[in-house]
Amino acid sequence: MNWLDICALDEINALGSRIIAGPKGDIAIFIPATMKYSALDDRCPHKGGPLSQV
Amino acid sequence: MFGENALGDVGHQGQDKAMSMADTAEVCGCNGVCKGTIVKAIQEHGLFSVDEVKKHTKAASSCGSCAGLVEQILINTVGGAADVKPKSEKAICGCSDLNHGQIRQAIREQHLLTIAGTLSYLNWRTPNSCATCRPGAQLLPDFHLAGRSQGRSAIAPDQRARHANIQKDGTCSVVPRMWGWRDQSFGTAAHCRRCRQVQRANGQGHRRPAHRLAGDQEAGLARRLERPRHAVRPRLRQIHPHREDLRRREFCRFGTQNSTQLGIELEHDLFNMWSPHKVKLAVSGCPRNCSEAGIKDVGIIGVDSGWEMYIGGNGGIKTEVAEFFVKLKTAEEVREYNGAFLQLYREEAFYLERTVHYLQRVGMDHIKKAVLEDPQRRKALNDRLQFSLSFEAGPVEGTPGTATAEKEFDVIPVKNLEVLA
Repeated sequence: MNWLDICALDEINALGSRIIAGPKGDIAIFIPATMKYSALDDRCPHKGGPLSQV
Repeated sequence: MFGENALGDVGHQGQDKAMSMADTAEVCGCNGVCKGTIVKAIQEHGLFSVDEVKKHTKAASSCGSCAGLVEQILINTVGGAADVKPKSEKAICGCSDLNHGQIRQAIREQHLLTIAGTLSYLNWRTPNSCATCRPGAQLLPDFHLAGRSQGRSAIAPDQRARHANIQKDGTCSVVPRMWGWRDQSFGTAAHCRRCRQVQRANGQGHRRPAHRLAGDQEAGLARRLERPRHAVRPRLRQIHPHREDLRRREFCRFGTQNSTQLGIELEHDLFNMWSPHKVKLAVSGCPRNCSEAGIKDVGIIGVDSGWEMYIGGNGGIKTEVAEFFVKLKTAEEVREYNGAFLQLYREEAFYLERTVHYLQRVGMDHIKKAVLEDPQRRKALNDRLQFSLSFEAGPVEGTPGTATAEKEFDVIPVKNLEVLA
């Protein structure tokens, strides 16, 4: 597992999201209420829309 | 995106179709699920509720318009053991055992102003609610506790500032506000220039905005549209009165009343209003009713002697014809009666219950009693609505200018991303 320095937590809105440009497509970073942070492919598998956009 | 929960009761309900359908007949058009698959899942997994069917088959879990049909198939398969309840008795979602009425009552009586307060007082099972109950818990305090509710702004400080519709590809279409379509700059050089700007910002070939933006919208949007991708998020569920085709006396030889002017006044009256479900209005200038006011939540038709008012219409997935409500003499009266009816709807409807289903549930007599019979109660209702709206900032004016919010659409620059490949 490789860890990467992305940004400080306060660079992302609480309960909000931002993206980074991953090599296989965008990665969405979230600050959920119940976790410190989480990340996933910024792509909905159903219609392909960006998940970082509420 | 919000599935059946966003659709409320507007689905086709699937009257009397379940029995005669072949096993190969499609039930859910969104997810391609046929009747046989649903029956098999019910039998094999021992399912007794629509929610369980959704989980196992995906049927009725996207747009939700087939939920009524799925319920019938469930009843046809397991009979009286099926767990089906009317909406007034159903829990709002899996996060709680409480129904809409109980939650409203608690918010009203206990003055629960924040989502956190509501969830903890009502012993929510989930720590942070879900996509179904969260918007409801955000909006409900506003209907009863105007000016004191902090729920929405604390949770969604910026979603309401977007003022545009997100598209499938992440770009947006820009919806300008032109009161009564009277924006004089439409089609001018400035308008065309603005359309080109927005189109460029969104990337060629993407959906382009059809209209120029109003002055106060431009400043806020321009900043966001500079971002070449994810330009704008959609509004949470802020309801702007939806003005259909307004004709005015000056435009048409049949016109009896100045319907455009009344339409603009109603737009201003209700600007920034939040409501349990969307609310659409139409005003026609004569009984030929070119704005099709008969299928709107509030439809107003000008006649020689005044205005006819209809309520509870719907032109969506399942068309419903509005019912005659009252005949009024002046535009001022129409504005007051309209405000009073919509405040009553805000105070009493379930979250995601359109006016037509609210009307069917409580009955026309109940609404007439509240709005028509007692002038003081009518005035009080309208006053409560206007009081509540006086706290609402416009979609752009309300934008918080924090640095974090500004950066929201920027891609975070990260080095060495190739290690993720």
